[in-house]
Amino acid sequence: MTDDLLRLDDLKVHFPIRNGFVDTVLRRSHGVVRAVDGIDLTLRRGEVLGLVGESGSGKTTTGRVIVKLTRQTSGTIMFDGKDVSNLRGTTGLRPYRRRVQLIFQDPYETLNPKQTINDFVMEPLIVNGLGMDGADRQRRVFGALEAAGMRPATDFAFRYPHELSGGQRQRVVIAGALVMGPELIVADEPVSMLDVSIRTELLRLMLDLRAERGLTYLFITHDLSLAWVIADRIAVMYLGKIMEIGPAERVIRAPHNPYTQALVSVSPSPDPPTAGTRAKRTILVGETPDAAHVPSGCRFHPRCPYAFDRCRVEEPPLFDVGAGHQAACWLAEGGRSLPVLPPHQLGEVAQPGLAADAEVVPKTAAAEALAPAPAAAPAAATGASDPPQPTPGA
Amino acid sequence: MIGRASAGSKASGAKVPAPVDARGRTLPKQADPAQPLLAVDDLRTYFDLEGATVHAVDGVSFNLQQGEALGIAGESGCGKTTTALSLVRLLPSNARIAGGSIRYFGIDLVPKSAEALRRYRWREISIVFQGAMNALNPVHRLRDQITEPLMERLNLSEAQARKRAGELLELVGIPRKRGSAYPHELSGGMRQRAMIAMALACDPAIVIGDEPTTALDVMIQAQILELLERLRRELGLSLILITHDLSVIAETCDRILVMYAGRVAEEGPVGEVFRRPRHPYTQKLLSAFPNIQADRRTLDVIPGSPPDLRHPPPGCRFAPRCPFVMPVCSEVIPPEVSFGGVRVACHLYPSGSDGTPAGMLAPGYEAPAAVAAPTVAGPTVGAPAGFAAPTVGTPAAVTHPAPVEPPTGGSLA
Repeated sequence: MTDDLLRLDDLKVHFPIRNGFVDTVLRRSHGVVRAVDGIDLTLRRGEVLGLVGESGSGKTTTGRVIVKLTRQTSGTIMFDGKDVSNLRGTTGLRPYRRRVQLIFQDPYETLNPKQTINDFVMEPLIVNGLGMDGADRQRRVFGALEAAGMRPATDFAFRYPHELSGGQRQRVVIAGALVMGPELIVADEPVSMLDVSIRTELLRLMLDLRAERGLTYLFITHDLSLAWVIADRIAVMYLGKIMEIGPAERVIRAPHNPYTQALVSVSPSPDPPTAGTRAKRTILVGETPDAAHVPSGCRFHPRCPYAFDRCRVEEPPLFDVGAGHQAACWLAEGGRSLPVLPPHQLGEVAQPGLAADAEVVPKTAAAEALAPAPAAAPAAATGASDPPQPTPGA
Repeated sequence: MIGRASAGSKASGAKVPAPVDARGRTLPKQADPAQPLLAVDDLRTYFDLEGATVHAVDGVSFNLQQGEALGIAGESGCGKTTTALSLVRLLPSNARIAGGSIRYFGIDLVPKSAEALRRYRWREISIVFQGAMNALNPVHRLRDQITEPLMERLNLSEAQARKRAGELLELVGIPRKRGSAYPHELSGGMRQRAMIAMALACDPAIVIGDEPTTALDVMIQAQILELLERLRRELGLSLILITHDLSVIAETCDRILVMYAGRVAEEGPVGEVFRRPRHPYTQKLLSAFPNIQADRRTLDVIPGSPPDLRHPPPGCRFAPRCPFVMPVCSEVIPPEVSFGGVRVACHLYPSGSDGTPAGMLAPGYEAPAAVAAPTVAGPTVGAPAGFAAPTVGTPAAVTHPAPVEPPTGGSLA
């Protein structure tokens, strides 16, 4: 038993682009979509790792690879010290899938409308031949339902999904995962479809279950504030790469990657904005490029307010910035923290123009100020709580 | 700024100069520009359901001034979407407006026939639907979908309509040439922009956004909200934003209306309501919202679930879930009390109240410390044992005024 429950090494998932039937038959492709493009990730036993990214960042694909619903193109997946990258077939996958379960986003579509709750939760037991007999299975089903907060289980077990509220349905989905007694749960946007008040209950349930059963979660979400609330560590993905990873407190309070910085600045907050907070927002222009055309160098550079020459040609690795915190940005090299630029020089919503193909040249006053810096700049202390004051043009 | 394309043709037909609003738009003949833009009074919309009646909207009143943005917040099923659909009367067939009035510049829309209402829908009040990303017709080019209503409603020629469609697309930040794209060729954010362009097509006075950013990424959401703000500023639009996402309202609206179970719980200026939520439901809703600016794991839970609106509880509808419930709450419907621009329906604020809660179980943010003290501090029952709270001493250290933890609830920590 190792401390690391799951380790991904240089994981890549590339989907070939095939136009139509002929391509499929001939196995011919017109380039690839680099959904996941070389990530290293470690999940420690008992932790909640929040995997955050926009649509198209590859976060869901990463989750699907971990539960073996999608095959990786290359790289390895180590689970509990064993290489599970190439598990195949019933005999190989079943023992693994008992230990690793997936919770999908949409409780309305996950449940079969014609199946009772009881049948839904029991099905994996039957498929996997778990439980000694019918009575034992039934006990496990009721146990899982009650663990998921459906108490008493007999009140709910024989209902159909349409008789339940959204929150209750998601509890049923969680029960369906729990009934297998998993160690790792990959939760893909588990609360995104739910109301705010119900979300909290489910997040609490997930944390309670972790405490009771020692579960480990990979919590996939597009909502940084949800990850902030539930995760011990946060990994931020952009276009198939991890841009930043570290303890939640550090990633949110002292982001070392401009992308994370922008995400934090636009993250919804119920505090009414003042002129100050509004000015601090960095709304990036344009949208995430599609993963079939990944930009050269740092893949974030076309939208990055800090981008300089090196970013356009050379991809930054994850630099250690202290306290288990890493960021993939040339500005973070040597553990330096990000400068804080005056807001109007950040990627403001300059033009309403939002061409999908917009190759937005970032505001350059900032970039110029920084461009000569990389090699010469003193390696500032890793304490990111004191980012240098803006000195553009200095 | 776009002028109303049909203004010329309409004015020529009228003997008396037609009334105009603050933006110079021509209004329907009966309109009184001195009246508020929209005044909804005691609106009741019921659904008939297998013998039972669902009181989805049950006595909702609010005003909307010209150029104002009003946010309507609440959980699923609180009647916020039904309220919006009632305004443009796009209700399902088993729904009916059972009472109240919806006055647009003084004209009551409720008694209007379906045919007469067509004059108002899209041209005076338009709506961007929930899940608008999927509301576009997949087999038509974007431009054609925008030109069709222009030709239909405003009797523009095809050439005029195309020109205007191009302007509309540019207005919402889509390059004109993308008008020839099919919806599947556009990203979610672009499709949402296209939907906004369609809602603006007939230059309405009011645009209702029903969860306009719910399915979008945060960055795209920020872009769309920025767009709505810009349109409001540039075109002088009035907005009604319907969302369960309080942060969207905090970002974009002037006033917020919090609905619960078909009624108004609280209404007031965004700054005031978010800083000093008076109604216990508003307080709960705010403290249940994950806030990246606040401490971690201080999320609150609202115990229980909203009532069955076929048989709403007598008295206050929030009473069964309210941490400050008093005997009177389950018997008497709380009257709406106004003070300083805020309107609250809660027995903690009897009529004539100045906004200070009455009753012994006063919310903690205003109550003297002695009242707040008895509440359990630190990890509550049910909190995960092996879970280190980040700040042990200050479990309620949130930046917005949070209510004291009720005995039934508890924070995530």
